[in-house]
Amino acid sequence: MFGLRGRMHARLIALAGVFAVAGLLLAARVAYIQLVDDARYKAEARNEHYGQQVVRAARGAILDRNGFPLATTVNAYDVYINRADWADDAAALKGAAVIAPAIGRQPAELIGAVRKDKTGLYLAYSALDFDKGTALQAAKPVGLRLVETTRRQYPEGDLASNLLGFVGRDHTGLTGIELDFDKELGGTPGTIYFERDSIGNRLSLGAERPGQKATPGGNVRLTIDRYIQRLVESELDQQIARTGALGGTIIVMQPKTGAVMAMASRPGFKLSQLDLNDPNQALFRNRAVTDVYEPGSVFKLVTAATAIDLGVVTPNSTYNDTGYAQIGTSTIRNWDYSANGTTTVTQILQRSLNTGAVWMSGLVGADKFYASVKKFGIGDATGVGLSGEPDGLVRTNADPNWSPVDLATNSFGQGIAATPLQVLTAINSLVNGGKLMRPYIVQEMDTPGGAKTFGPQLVRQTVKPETAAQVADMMNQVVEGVAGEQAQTKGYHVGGKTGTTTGATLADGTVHNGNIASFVGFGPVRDPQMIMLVKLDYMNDVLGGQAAAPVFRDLAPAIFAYLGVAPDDPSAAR
Amino acid sequence: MNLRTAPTREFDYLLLLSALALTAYGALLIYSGSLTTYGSPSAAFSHPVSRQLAFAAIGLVAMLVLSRVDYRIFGPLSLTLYVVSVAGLLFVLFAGGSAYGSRRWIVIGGTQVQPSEIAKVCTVIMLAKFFDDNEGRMQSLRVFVTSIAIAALPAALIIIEPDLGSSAVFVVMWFGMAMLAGVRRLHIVSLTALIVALTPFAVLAAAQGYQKDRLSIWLDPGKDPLGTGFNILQAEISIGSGGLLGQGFTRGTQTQLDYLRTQTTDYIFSVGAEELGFIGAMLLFSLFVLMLFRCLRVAGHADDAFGRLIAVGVVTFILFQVFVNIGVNIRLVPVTGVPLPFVSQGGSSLITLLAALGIVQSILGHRRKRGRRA
Repeated sequence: MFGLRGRMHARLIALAGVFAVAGLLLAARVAYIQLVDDARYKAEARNEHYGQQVVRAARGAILDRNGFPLATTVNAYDVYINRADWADDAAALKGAAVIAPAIGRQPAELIGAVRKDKTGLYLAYSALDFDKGTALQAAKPVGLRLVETTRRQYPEGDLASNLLGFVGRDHTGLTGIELDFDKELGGTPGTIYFERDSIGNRLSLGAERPGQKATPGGNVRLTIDRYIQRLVESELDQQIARTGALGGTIIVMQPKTGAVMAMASRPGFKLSQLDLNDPNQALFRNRAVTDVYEPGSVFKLVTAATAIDLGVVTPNSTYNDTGYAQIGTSTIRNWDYSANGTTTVTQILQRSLNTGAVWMSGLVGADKFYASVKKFGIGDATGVGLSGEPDGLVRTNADPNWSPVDLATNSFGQGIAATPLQVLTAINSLVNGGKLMRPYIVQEMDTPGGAKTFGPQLVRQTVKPETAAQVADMMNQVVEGVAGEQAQTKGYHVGGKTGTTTGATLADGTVHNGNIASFVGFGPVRDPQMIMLVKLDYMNDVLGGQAAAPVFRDLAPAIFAYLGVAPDDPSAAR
Repeated sequence: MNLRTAPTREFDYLLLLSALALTAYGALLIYSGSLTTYGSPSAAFSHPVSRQLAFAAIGLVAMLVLSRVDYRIFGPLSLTLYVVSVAGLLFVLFAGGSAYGSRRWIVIGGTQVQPSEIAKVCTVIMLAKFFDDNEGRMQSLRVFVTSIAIAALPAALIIIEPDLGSSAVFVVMWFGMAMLAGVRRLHIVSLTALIVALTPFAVLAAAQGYQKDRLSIWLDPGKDPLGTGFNILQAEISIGSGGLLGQGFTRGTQTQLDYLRTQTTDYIFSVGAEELGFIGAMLLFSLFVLMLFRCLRVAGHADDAFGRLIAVGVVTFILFQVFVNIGVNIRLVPVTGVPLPFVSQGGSSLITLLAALGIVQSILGHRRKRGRRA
């Protein structure tokens, strides 16, 4: 009996032992998970529970040379309507009565749109003004959900649209300065982590913790002067309207530095009426930099400067103008079919004689002519820092398809493709003592490593300073030595040269047979403070002297006055 | 019979305490685990906690009543109870309701009842009666095989549901009781050898359908983290992120963000481990250890083999379920749906467990005074 009981107890103890082993096994594993490996599991839980959202960095501003903002970022609200709140007709009507007028929509139409929306949260308006948003918020209409966002704002309206470019809905730059300096302007987006449930929905009252902080974008300061830019744009628009031009380009530059003070092209787009779906993408280009044209007679300045610099002519050298030049089987005539007899180099420029340019290029020779053209930067992008800038095209005598006729036509600016900025840069070297300055349009930008500034940059000497001075003087005589010259500017001695070629660019970017009337002018002659290129595209025959020179004449005194340049003749300046 | 004296009327309050503490622990975790679906407890009677507490009350009444009833009356009743519970299991197979692909309950009076829970207790009683009746013939192979059959019949019916975990409970329960009853060691060793030899075939047979996936996912839940491995991974993450002290009651992110599934039943241990930490888990362990020792004490003090066997059978099936349930939570055991006794949400299980403890109390309270043997 006792033995049986003893055996029973032994079995019970054995059973307890089995349970103890099993229990220890469980406890050991729990301890391992909870006490040894807990950090890993905690991290896994965190990773699961938190979703990530990108926080857009505040985009930097684009400033003019004096620090006035041309494009800036302001706080705004996206207006959402929660469909569930509008399920009830009375509630929907009440809510819509407040919200619809604030966002410029009709209540009935808004209710319809909200109810059709599948997401349950209908975006009724993007980037509503901050003030309007806060006012709407205060009215507490049914169903309203405001989400803070930012909006690109343009304090100067449509000023310099094509230069500035625009940003997409996600605030990345798509064209212009916005695109080219997107890295600097855009900053670095940050992240926030938010609590989410097991199917990824964000918890409305869930915890939020900041991740990477967004680094705001830096400002980009241009060399553009908003006042000059506005003058230029308004004059360009007026001249296009007056003369029925297809479009045109004006660039204003500081001769000694190459800083671009104004740059405008038409046709373009208006920032205030931006339509990203516009099929005509050509309207978004900054044509002053991206489009090439034949510079025409303006280029005679380069030919003359080259000939003088090489010592083959002086401003007073003469040739006998018979009205035509025979190159092989080709006959080249003056634009007005005139024959002028004995003519000086200065007169060639004053009368813009093609035969004279051909004569000079013949004296120079192809090798030296093209070497000089290259020195003037024609055929190479200027490196202004804007995207889409082409090299242009010059066919030299090294090209197998080149013929002597090319040298003749090139001498008066035909058969050469260059951008308006290239032409202006090249001619500028002649009013700047032969110094070819690299044009620039951004003078300062904030980077994470501090402010980065850009200043004048000498590319090379195109011609000797004396040569440049002689050409600049001849440019003055082009304007002042001819009675009735359209570029004559009240109160200031200026210089310039007209150009007329065919090959106008249409709005859609294709090239048409119409005329391009252009003018490059500078002033004041004694100490050049401004150089300007005016180019206008026409469907018909219009001369540079008729259409482009008057634009210079009208703009120059106003720009000089703004820049504080004392008039040469104070009484006339009034 | 004339030597029979009055029963001791002893009642084990520590055993009651362990059961009540575990039930309360469970109710708290059910509350926390239901927050995502039941925002506030104001939903009154339909709230899982209210229901669980109501079941606990019923179970407590059953426990007290049964503790007053002499457990010996279950001797003559054992066959009837066993037959009825097996019939219940059969009924479930043909007319039961199903969830997650297995038929496990029947509806009686608007309440879901899981016959397998009741069958556990009835089988314990049947086995105890059988071993007691054959106390002198424990060396017989016929007795050995018959005892196996008693446990195997309900186990087989439950496997068909399918509910592998619950059927394993019957096997382990049988082992515990057979050991205590003193079956021949040769038989046990032979049977163990046979099981070991058959295991590869069983695995092969199981290696089709859901059992195969369960095994491979158990070994490497990362293989399918968003599908079948999801629950396993999330349970492990919950437990791990609890750390020593836990994230605080109702503050467990895994639980409250709904990453844990079936968090008031199969994975309730993970809720406790996440929110109450290692300390909370060990408190739970201690309560089960207390329950084990109080039951073994009853077995040790029992007047007869019938009582002793019932006490051991009950504590064996309770603790084996604890082992399997927690084992699944901590990926020590392949996934199988066994509730955590007293803690998991579920009326059948809770009432049956409390009633079974009532029988264990009865074994203690209906001993005859020493005078009989003296």
